[in-house]
Amino acid sequence: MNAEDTRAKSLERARAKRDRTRRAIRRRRDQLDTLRAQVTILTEETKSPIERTVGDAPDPELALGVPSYSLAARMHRRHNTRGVNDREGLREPILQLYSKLTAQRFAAQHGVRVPQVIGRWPDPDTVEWESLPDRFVLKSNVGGGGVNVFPLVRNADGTYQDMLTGATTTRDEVVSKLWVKHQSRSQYFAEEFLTARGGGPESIPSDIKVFCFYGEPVYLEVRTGDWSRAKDVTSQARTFLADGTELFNVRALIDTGDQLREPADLDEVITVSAKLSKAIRRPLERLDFFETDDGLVFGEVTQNPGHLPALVPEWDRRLGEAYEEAYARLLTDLVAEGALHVEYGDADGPQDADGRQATASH
Amino acid sequence: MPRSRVEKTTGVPSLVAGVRLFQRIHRRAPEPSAGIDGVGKEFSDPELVARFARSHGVPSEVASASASEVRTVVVHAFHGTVGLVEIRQDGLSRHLDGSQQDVGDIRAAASYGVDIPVSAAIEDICGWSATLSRHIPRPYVQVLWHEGTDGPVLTRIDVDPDRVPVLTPEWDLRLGQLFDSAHARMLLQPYRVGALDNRIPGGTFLPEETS
Repeated sequence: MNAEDTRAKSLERARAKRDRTRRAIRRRRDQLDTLRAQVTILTEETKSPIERTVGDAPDPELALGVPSYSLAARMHRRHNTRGVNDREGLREPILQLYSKLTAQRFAAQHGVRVPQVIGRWPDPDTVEWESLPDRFVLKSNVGGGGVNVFPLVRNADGTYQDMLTGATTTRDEVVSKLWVKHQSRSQYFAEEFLTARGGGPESIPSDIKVFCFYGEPVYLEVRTGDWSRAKDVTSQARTFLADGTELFNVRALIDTGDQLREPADLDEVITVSAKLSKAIRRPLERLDFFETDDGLVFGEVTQNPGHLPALVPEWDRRLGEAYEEAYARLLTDLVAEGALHVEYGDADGPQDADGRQATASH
Repeated sequence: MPRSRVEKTTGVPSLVAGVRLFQRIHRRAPEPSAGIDGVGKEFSDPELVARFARSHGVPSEVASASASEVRTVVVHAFHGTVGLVEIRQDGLSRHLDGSQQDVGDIRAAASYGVDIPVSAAIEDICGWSATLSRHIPRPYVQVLWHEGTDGPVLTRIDVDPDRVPVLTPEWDLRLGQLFDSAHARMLLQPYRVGALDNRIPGGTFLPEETS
């Protein structure tokens, strides 16, 4: 090896080392950005709602505060999950869509593709296993977080591969797991095994979760590992705006899924989400879809996500703006329809503010 | 604890957070002080306030503050429920709960006036305020009265107050719970006429019992 070759080798090694160092620095910088975002989020989370609202205003009693997605979304979740609405006799119609089959029927009536249902049964013991194909998904119509969802592939020996956990299982095991979470309103159904776009025949599609605000899809996540039965799987996400812009370190408490693919047909995701969201008279909800080789397929309506995104302050505020605009649009519609107004009584003769006949009572 | 567990919270109710959220929403109306429902404009007219009060059997004289005023009473009402009564006199304030019991010094921005007398008509004032607030499509309003030598007179119904009391954490939570319930009651009006129903092309979605 002559001097020139030696020098070239040396230069090559130096360049490789430089590239490794650059990659390491980039990784460290990304980790640092993530940690900074996490600290910012957790710092906000230590504050009470009133502290977050008044901030450091010179006169706290005059502080109007700024929009906050997390405060608003938690309020709605609280109203449903802590019985506030129930106690007042309010059963939000969006709760009708809690049942997966009902939500699918709702979506189908809007012309949205839903998974094909292969069979329905009243309880886990009545599932007709022999009638099912080699690949199918067995579900309860209620329950979140994938706890009652079993994507199964039949093995030659009659056992099944649980594609969610990767474990081998039997029908008896699945049945007993379904009974554990059984509720009086539970029903069971099997639906076609959807495969991921461009994936193999047993690949499970990632969830596309679209955060909608009364007809306006604003923020979406491609998620995987969001399944409570797969204990050793970490939830991962990539986040995007409706225009496709990817966001980094915005929902920093959830790991970024570098391997996740962005939605192939974002326009369809947004168009379908907007249509369904506008039909639900609530300022916010999440709509879940699967992207398959057969196109976009509706998953479910999530009224009160178990994990409401905790976002860095800038994006908590931007989604809070979207929420408040959505609620304003909803109220505008309700007022225009005559469904929300001052009620005049008839203690002084029937009338309203314009001297019209009063229609409401005390 | 996994970091994502932080996201499992449903948060806690808060008077200030709830009231301000709803104010910001209504201030997105073309005429912000009127609100999306126009109630702010409607109630800026004393004649309309009087007519509204009279329609619910509430003494309908609506007067602005005058020289004969002795005390101002601000009733913080949550769609049919009184949460807090604020009595102001000579720059001092005294606060009562919904059952007219003194709650002590709970508000940093106000000088506590323990000796401010409570009107003999306070129960009526609270009852009337609850009645009026129940028929206004807002979860929280302030009903203002003044007490002159001739008894209480309704001054104003403020659906978009500039000043919202910042109280001790315990009281912010307590009134926040009332706000949450009032929000649900406010929605009963559109809910009962089906205005919140899910929509499908050409009509309303009907869930099947078997679904």
